[in-house]
Amino acid sequence: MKEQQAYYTLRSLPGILILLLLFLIPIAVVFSYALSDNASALINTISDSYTYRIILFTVTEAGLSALIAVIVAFPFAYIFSKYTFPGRKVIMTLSALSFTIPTILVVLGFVIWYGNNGLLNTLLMRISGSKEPVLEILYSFKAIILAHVYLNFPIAFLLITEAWTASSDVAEKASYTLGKSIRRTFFSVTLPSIKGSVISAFILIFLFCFSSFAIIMVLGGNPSYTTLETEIYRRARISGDTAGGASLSLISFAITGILLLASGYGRAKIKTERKTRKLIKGRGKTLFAIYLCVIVMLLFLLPPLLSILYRAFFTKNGVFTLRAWEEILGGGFGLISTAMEGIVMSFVIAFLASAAAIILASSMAMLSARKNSRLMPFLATLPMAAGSVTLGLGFSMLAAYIPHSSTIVSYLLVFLAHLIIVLPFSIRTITPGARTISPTLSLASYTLGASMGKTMRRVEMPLLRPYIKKAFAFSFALSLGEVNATLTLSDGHITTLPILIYRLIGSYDYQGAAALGTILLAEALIVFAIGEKGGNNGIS
Amino acid sequence: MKKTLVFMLILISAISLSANAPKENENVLTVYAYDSFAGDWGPGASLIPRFEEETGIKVNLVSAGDGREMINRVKMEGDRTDADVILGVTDDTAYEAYELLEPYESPMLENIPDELEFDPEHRLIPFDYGAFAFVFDSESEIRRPESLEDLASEEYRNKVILIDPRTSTVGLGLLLWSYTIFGDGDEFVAWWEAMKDNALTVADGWSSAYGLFTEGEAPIVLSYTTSPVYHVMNENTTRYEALVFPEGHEATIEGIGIIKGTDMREEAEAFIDFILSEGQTEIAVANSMYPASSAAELPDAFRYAPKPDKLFPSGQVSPEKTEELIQLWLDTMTR
Repeated sequence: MKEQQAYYTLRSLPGILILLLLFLIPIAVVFSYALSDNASALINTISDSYTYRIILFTVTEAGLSALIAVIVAFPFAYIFSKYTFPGRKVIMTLSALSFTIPTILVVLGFVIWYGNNGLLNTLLMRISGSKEPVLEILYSFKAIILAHVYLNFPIAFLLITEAWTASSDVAEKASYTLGKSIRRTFFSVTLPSIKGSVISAFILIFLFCFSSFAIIMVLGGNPSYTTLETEIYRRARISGDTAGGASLSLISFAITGILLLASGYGRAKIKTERKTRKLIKGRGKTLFAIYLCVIVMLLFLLPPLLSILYRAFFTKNGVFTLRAWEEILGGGFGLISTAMEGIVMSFVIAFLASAAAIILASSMAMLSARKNSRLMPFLATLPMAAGSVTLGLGFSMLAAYIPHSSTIVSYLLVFLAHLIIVLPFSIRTITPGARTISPTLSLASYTLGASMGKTMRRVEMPLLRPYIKKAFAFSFALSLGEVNATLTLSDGHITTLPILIYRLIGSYDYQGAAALGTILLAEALIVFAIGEKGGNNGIS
Repeated sequence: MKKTLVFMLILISAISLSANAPKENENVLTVYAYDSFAGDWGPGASLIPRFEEETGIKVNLVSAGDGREMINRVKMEGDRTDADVILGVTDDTAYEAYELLEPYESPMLENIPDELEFDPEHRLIPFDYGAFAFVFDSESEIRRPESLEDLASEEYRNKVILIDPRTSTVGLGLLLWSYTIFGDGDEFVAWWEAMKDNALTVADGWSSAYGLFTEGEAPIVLSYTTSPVYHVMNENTTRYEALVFPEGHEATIEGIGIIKGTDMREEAEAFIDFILSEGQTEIAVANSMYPASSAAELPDAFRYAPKPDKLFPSGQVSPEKTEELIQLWLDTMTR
């Protein structure tokens, strides 16, 4: 056991080092601003009542979004972890897609679909004969929640489904045999066994919504919906009040840090199960009910995405056109002619960052499972807790310290930035899997004469594979849609798809942006599909 | 295998951190510019080679973030900065840059109208400018608003897409514009209270605001006078019109300047002269701005970018006053 821990500690060192270096340096730079000048900016911020107002709103908005996303995901996770049916995998893959697209396209997709002049309203107006929009969803608090649930549903759905499928149903069956009701069994047997994934999903979504920005401002429709990140951004970028912005970053980091600690990241609980549940084949009426649920889910997930697809081929007036596509394929000039480069570049960066992330994360996950500590997931959550604006601020300050004009350095910095963004995800996705591998299994392998390396390769990694695949897909999607860090660090030399999308929108070409968004989605879809196909000997 | 990969990774990152910042060649002019100028897609990519060829001066173009980030970077680097020229400081942040710059009386100044010369000492020389304006969808069924005052009337309820001054310079532009017209008293508050009802939403930035507008969510959006040009050039439609208001328009002027203590003064002057002459048209088209030089020729589509009769340069309000206005705005909008 001791040797094994030492082995994994050694293998985890590079990951821990990278995590700490890439996280601590930018953060230290930011915080040094907050604390400069006798921390006067920090003291000012703490004594300002406005600060508390936005903290309250941010926590409310993020908590509510996370709660609803988890609740909505639950019934679907139940179906997907109990039954197997044709199309199950395809739908799970599709559900992860909304994760990939840059925020601005999500906003646009939402507007095209749910907007007052959007497709849904146009349809409803035609049916009802009304002249006014039938569903006024956008530009209100509920629009914020809807968009957040939409964006983060896949996290909750996939994480819970994964854990649920992997948990053994022996105890449940025993509970039924003992005459306990379904409800009782759910709360006292099932829920505890998937609790980790539910909390994990909640926290991830909370953190995402905590640092949400564009969605809250555009879809909320009212400046009173102000989050901490908005204020940090304003102070640092618009008012030039770096110290003030850094102070808020510090406060924001403290809040998320406390929440993380309070949510039980200090406590460790061992849980090892070797048996996973056997999925029941859906038949007849059950199958019909399943598909009904699936349709409901798809009706929620797909329209905003399809709206982007629609806009890539149709103008606002509904006229079919291939203009954007012809331009992408070489007919265009200026910005859009670099589309091909963007497609390849995004792919390469996302692939390398995710590959590096899963390699580093696997060892770290095993270490954290074997040492039975939650230190690693906690460590891995730090970059997320810091928030993207804060990290971006740190990166841009760093970029100013390391002037570079060489393209290779730009690539490296962007790669490292993506790595620090996706690594936490990989660790958090793989760790629950690592916990399900019984230490006795590894010990048995050693007894049979296998080395630690061989045990890892032949015994542990295959068992981890479904988790690693999921981690890879998530990381890939995340990196593919990354904008802020890339823009800050690339020095204008790297053209990735999302950056191109932003630039096209910046130069009025929304159709081109939608076309590139479609390509982005396709790219993600292919990688997801390949990932799913990679091996069927796993759990799902 | 995986181990080697990991080690390679560390090696690469170590090299990248140590091998950074190669010292600049002595005979290279270093220009700090904002991303959209210096990026591979920006006007810099074609202008710089032309300049190098014509003058024999090598240029190292550094993309240094947006205007404010550039200033911060030069400040942070202090005496050891490589920058000789800084391009793209807007008039509203100019006060932060002045201490870093030395004056230059370019011969090209004669083509630049006086009202654009926001810095009388010529530390920053204007090279292009734009004006904020509301853009109107002429296919909507509502009446064209005729003035800022008129825009606040009740018939435009939920018809206008605004942008937050806390996160966007365009949003800030309107805030200062309203301040110039209405002052910071009751008139200002009353106008914004009316606009609060008229605003469908207050977007985080120009991009999302304009996207909402072209999707038909509302018929009026805060943008620039030059916005219709794109629709004319690429979509062959004059459906979207920039509204010119008689009260006058808030302008943004972008300037270029020479960093204090440069040992490339002569080359820097040549570069600025080039930007103010040959570079004008290309920069204006790429940025969707008007060229500062009245000698520059513009594509025909710029006919649809109406020039306001009256311009208010935006560098007139102190940063403290701006903060105060944002606070007042926030109080009004969230009341």
